Amino acid sequence: VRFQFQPVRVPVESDGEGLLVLVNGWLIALLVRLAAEHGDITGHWFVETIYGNIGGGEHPVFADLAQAEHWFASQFADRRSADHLWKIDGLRDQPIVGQT
Amino acid sequence: LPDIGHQRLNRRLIAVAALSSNAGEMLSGLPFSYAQFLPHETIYAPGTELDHYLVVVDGSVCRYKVAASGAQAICSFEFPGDILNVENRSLAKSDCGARAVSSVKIAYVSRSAFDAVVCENRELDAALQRYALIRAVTAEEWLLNVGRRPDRERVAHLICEIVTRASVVDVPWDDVSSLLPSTDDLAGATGLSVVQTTRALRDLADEGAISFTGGPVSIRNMKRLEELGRFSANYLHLVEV
Repeated sequence: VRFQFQPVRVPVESDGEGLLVLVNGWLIALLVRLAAEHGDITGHWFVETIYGNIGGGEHPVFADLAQAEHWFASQFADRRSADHLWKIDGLRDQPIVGQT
Repeated sequence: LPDIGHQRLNRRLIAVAALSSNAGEMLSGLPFSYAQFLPHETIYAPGTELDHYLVVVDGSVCRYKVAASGAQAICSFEFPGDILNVENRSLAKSDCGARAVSSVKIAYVSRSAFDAVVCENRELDAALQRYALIRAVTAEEWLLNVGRRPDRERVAHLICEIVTRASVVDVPWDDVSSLLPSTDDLAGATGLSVVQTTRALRDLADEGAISFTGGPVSIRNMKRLEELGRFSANYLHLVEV
């Protein structure tokens, strides 16, 4: 199983840069790159939306995509927090790869 | 001349309950002591049993609760003249904790001494009951705000409430902006993430209602802010603004 990042345009930030996060064709999150007014975290990736019962209500911000990938992989590694995702056909009992 | 803690409390109770000066004089016999807190400093933790009532003299305070995950929600902001733990008139412990938003001066008055004075004065007792009920109905307005208003309207509505409540206690207009919470605290009070709150503030600035460039917020056009927040102060039940 691999994480895929698919570019999209999202009208919530001035430059509109976004990425769909997909696993085996399943959409699990939308990341948006933060524009100028966000201070210290300008240019970082914000988890705009999460699909499925992962992340415990958190909306983390990542400095780069490697950090984002690492975080998503850790969510999958923890079966208690990703119980919902593990029920999805094609995700159960498959090793998650894609960490850089 | 009554000292500053009595003045602030008296002014707040006049604003919310038309307290007569006579009842205010009864309060002035109570000894107040004072303490200063830095921004973000904890004043008391959730679940504390306090021996004193704590009255805000200068600055702003938030009352907050903590989820099992450690996530914090702000349940109210308190301004000069507000009693942080008015629930202790009936309840032994304070469920919410309190934390300084800005630099804060707090007046402490003994619960037993205060309760004894209130017991002797029906008007003061009624004013404090009205004050506590207004806090409860304000929390209901916050439920509506967090649950059902879109981001920009939600943040605008909260800032309108803060300005309205802060202004009733003779706070000069120039000082009201200094009582406005940071983006982090606005996020904590609206159930939004800091990123979403920043976007809402940016939109309100684009509309000319506030000044915001990532740091502190200040008011530019209160009427516009009230329009964008669809704000009516009715639920605050102020007698006099």
